[in-house]
Amino acid sequence: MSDPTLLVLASLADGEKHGYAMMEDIQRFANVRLGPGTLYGAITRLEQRGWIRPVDSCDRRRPYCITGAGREYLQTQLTSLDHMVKTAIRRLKHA
Amino acid sequence: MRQLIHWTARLYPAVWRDRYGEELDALIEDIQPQWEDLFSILLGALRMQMTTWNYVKIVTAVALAGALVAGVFAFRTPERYVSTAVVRFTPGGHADSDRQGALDRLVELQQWVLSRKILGEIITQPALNLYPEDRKKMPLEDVVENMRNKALRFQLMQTQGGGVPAFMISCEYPDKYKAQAVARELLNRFLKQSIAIHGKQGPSAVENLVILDPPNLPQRPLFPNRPMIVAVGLLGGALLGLLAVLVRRSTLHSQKT
Repeated sequence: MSDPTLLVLASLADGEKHGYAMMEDIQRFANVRLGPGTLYGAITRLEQRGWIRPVDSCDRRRPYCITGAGREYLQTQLTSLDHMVKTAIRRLKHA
Repeated sequence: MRQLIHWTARLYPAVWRDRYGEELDALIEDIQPQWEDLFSILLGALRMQMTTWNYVKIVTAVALAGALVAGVFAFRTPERYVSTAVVRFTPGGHADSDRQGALDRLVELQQWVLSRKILGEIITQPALNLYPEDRKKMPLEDVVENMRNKALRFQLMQTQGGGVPAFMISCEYPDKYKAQAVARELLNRFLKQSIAIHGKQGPSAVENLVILDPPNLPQRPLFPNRPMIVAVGLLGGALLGLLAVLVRRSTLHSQKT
């Protein structure tokens, strides 16, 4: 999975994070290093679609959290991905 | 590197920077900057610029970029000049003055002029000194082969009434003076050999070769046609810009639905 949108949503699924924390988290759980331009491109799109929102903060490192719509979208995508992975594994076993 | 990335981040549209600029600057300060981050910011800025531009601006920008790329290509491509001479065999009461005889003579002379020996002599003439860079990298035989296949042309030209043919000798070279000098040299060798072979058969045979056009000094290069290349780049860029607009419209439409 290397879609930056899904990676950011997955990172925010367990709580709010700012940009650098997301980069670190994604690197850890997906072994993907998102560049700052890619990360903020995804953040911009996700906020426009209403799937994440900024959390009030005095710090320049503004945290973001996932919205209900974002959680629902992530769930749909992961279910679809899970189905695909299970199918592929099953086919590999029977090949 | 970090400073360079900060500067690059200023390429984002002002509206975007008002909203996310401070956060992005903070992120750049936190990371260990790499070259990939610079490209990531550069691409991100370009994408954001594209999203804030109207369609006319996108098409214009991509068309200008196409013209710029084409212009760089056109001005980096070395010029190629072609010098041409036209010669004809004329009937002179000689036994081989008919069409087939003239063709046979032409083939015979052409093979001799294009031989490795003659072309090698022309290439290495100090006054001409052709293909100096190629000669450093490859044996003379290969240079001769390249010259024969790529730079020289012997072509039959149909004359009115289908009589004895004329033929064209042309030479292509990056230097227009050398192109002319080589065409002249080839023509001289051609004439001398013709005299050497057929002069033995009597004076009438020598008179059979007539130079219709001496080797010309080309004024404009055959390639590259720079204005044409830039125009094609501009047009190609405009088409690419239109394609980008269509893709963007369909993406925005799919996002709304």
